[in-house]
This record gives sequence, structure tokens and C-alpha cells, in this order.
Amino acid sequence: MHKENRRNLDKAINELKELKAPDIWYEIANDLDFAKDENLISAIEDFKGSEAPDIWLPIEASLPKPKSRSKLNWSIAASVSILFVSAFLFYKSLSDSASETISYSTEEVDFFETSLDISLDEGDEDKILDYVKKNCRRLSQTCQNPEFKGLLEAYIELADAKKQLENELSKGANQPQLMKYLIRVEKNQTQVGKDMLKKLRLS
Amino acid sequence: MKRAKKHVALLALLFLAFRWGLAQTKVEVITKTVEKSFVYKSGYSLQVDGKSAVIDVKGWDGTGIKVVMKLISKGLNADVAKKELEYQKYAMDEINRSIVIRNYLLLPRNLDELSTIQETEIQIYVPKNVKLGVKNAFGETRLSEITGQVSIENEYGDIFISNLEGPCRVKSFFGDLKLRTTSGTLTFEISHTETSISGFSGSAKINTNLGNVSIQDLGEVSDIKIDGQKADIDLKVIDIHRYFWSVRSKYGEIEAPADITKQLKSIKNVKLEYGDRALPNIQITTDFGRIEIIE
Repeated sequence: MHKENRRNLDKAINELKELKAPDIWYEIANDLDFAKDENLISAIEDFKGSEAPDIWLPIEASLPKPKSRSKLNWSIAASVSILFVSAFLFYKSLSDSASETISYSTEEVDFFETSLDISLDEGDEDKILDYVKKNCRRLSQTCQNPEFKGLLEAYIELADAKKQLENELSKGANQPQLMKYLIRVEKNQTQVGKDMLKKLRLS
Repeated sequence: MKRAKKHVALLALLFLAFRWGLAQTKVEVITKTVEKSFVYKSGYSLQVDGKSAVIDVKGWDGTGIKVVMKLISKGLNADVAKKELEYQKYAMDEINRSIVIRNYLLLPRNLDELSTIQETEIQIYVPKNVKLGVKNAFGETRLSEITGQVSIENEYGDIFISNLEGPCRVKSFFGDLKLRTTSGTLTFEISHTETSISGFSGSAKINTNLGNVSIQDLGEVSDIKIDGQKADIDLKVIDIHRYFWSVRSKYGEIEAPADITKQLKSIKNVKLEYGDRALPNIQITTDFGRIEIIE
């Protein structure tokens, strides 16, 4: 656009008269005013509505009830727990510990005064002789008892006899008869061994 | 052979005991008594492991298990007896669904021998239907009024069982075994053990190597099987016709009512059978033992 023309246009716009806009918003507001519609007002006032069907009760009933968190329940639970723990600890302390008492008394026992020593072969595999050997260290009174010594000698003698008979048996002849002797020797040795053990226990 | 006879004669002489130099002396006795009770739960077992102990187990009406253990030390000097009592140890524990009771002697390394006599007595009270296992060596085991499953292993000590109801398994070596008024299934593996059974009902299987077996007062019996090897077997019954008999001794004598022996001239190594097989079976076999059946 030419500079002269631009100046003329600006001048013409500046010289235009300012006109007031028509009040259309007032008219629109009047149209929207419900208060003036009497029919609508009376219809709203006459509207009573109806009760909604009772569908929430069964739904509520089917829902899990929220847990009670009353302070009273918590305190009862705590008390019961403490009681249980205390009872358990008390019971455990009772069951874990054994009560011990020590008493003193005096007894009279048989005592055999003899100084004869009993010698047993070292490395004997016979459990009876091993037991006798160990206990005779403790129970010297019993083991020095002539009766006990007699039993011990008999036991050792019978053990020797048993070995000899077993040797004879290994050679062959007259097996059943030898076997019967062996059984008699074994039975007697067993009885002597038992008598010895009883004497050691009763001492 | 002469040598063997000489030995047998010698042992007869050696049996004659003699006593002299007898005197009485006072000894100090220190006794430590330990008591403990356990709650017995179903499916639990009681295991007793004794060493040179007198073990006495009794049934009672209580629901739990009560143990009273006496550790005893006897000596000429009270202080020494008290000191050496400390070497006696015990355990009473609940381990893996088992209640375990045991005693043992624990000597310090620098001590070779004790100068006192050490003894242990274990008294246990058990409820009904208990599952009981007892091991003992060089001690005596006693069981009475027990209802339940019982297993005993004893070496070098006697076993006494009375009023037992239930299956009973016994292993015994070098001891005597006495049963009174028992019912159930007996399974015995015994050697060098004299066995005496009276008032028995049920079934029994007895394997014995050396040591005699004596049975009397039989009640309601299903089957009895005895393998005696070198043992003598005595059996006393009211009426032999109530049973089916199968009897055999390889080298031993058999003494029995004529119905069983059939009046054979020699019954050695002959299997004698008598009766209806549908009746309770009594089967006895030995190699060298003597069999005696008394009606």
C-alpha cells in the first residue's frame, strides 16, 4: 500500500463515531429466568418423588463386616497372649529343669578282710572278666571275698575247659557227645558268671 | 574225653562256696535324687539307656512320664564318696519326638580307678499305650503294668516283666528273663539266658542259643515257635489236644505224652507231629537241647 493511502486510512478510522452496543444480554437473562415460569415452579413443587427400591440392604449384608478395632478387644487379646506366653515359659522352665536333692546316710555292709590279690590276664576279650577286672579295682572288698574268688577261679577254669573241648571238637570224633560236654561246660560257666555279676551288684 | 569229664567234675567242686573272715563295716552313702516330669504326646517314644543301672518302669494312670533317678555313691569316706558321685552323669531330654533318659560314668583322665561303689536306680512311671525302648548293660531291668509297644535289649543283667499288654521284643545276652501275666506278640532273641514264662496269651517266637526256656499256664495262644539250638525247653499245658504240635530235637531227648511221641523207640532227629493243623501251632526244635512237654 502506498504511504499516502495508509495515512488516509488511519485518519478515516480515527474519525469514526463510537456507537453503544445493543443490551442483548439483559434480554437473554430475562428469557432464562425460571422464576417467571409459573408452570415450571408449580410442577417442581408438586413433584413428590418415590422411594428407591431397597437393594442396598442385601448388598450390605453380603459385604464382609469391618473388624472391630475397639480398644477393649485389643487389651483382652494382649492379656490372653501374655497369659499364654507366661504359662508356656513357666511350663518350659518346669519341664526343662530337673530337681536335684542330695541325701546322706550310713550303711553296714559285709567286708572281707583278706589281702590276696586277684590277677587277670591283660587283653582278655571276655566281657565278664573285663567287667570284673574294672569293678574289682573299685570293689576290692567284694573281690577279695573268698566266695567271689572261688567263683572267679571256676569261671576261668571253665573257660579253659571250653577252649579244650572246642579244640577236641575241631578234630572230629564223637561230635554229639563232646558237644553235650561243651554245652554243660558253657551252661555252668554262664551260671558262674551270672553269680559273680550278682555279687558285684549286691556289694 | 577224660579231660572233659575232669573239668565237669571240677566245676562241681568249685560250686561249693565257702565263707570266712566275714566282718561288717560302716560305709557312707551319698545319694543324689533327680526328678523330672515330661508331657507325653501321642506318637512320642520313651528311650531309656542305662549303664549298670537298675531300671524299673511302671505303668500308671497319669498322662505324663515321671522319672526319679537315684545316683548313689558308697565309700568309707564321705568326702571321697561325694566327690566320686560327681562322675555319675545323667541326661533327661526330649529329642526328635523321643524322651531320652540315660546315665553314664564319666571319669577324669587322670583318674584310673574309683575307691567307691557307684550305683544307679532309675524309676520311671509311664502312661498307657506308651512306646517304650530300654537298653541296659550290667544292670537289672524291670517292667510292670505296661500297656503299649515294648522293646528291651539287656546284656549281663536280668529282665523281669509282669502284667504287660502289647507287642514285646526282647534281646537278652547273659541274663535271666522272667515274664508273668503277659499278652501280645512276643519276639525273643536270647542267648545264655534262662527264660521263664507263665500266664501268657498271644503268640510267641523265641530263638535261644544257650539257656533253658520254661513255659507254663498258657492262656489263649495263637502260635508258639521255639528254636532252642543248645537250650532245654519245658512246656506245661492243660490239654495237649488244644494244639497242633510239631516237635523235633536233633540230638536231645524228648519227653512228651504218648500221643505226641507215638511210642517210637528212638525219637532223636525225628519230626513228631500231632493234632489238627487248624488249631494253634506249637513248634519246638532244638539241636542238642532236651524237650519236655507235660500235660
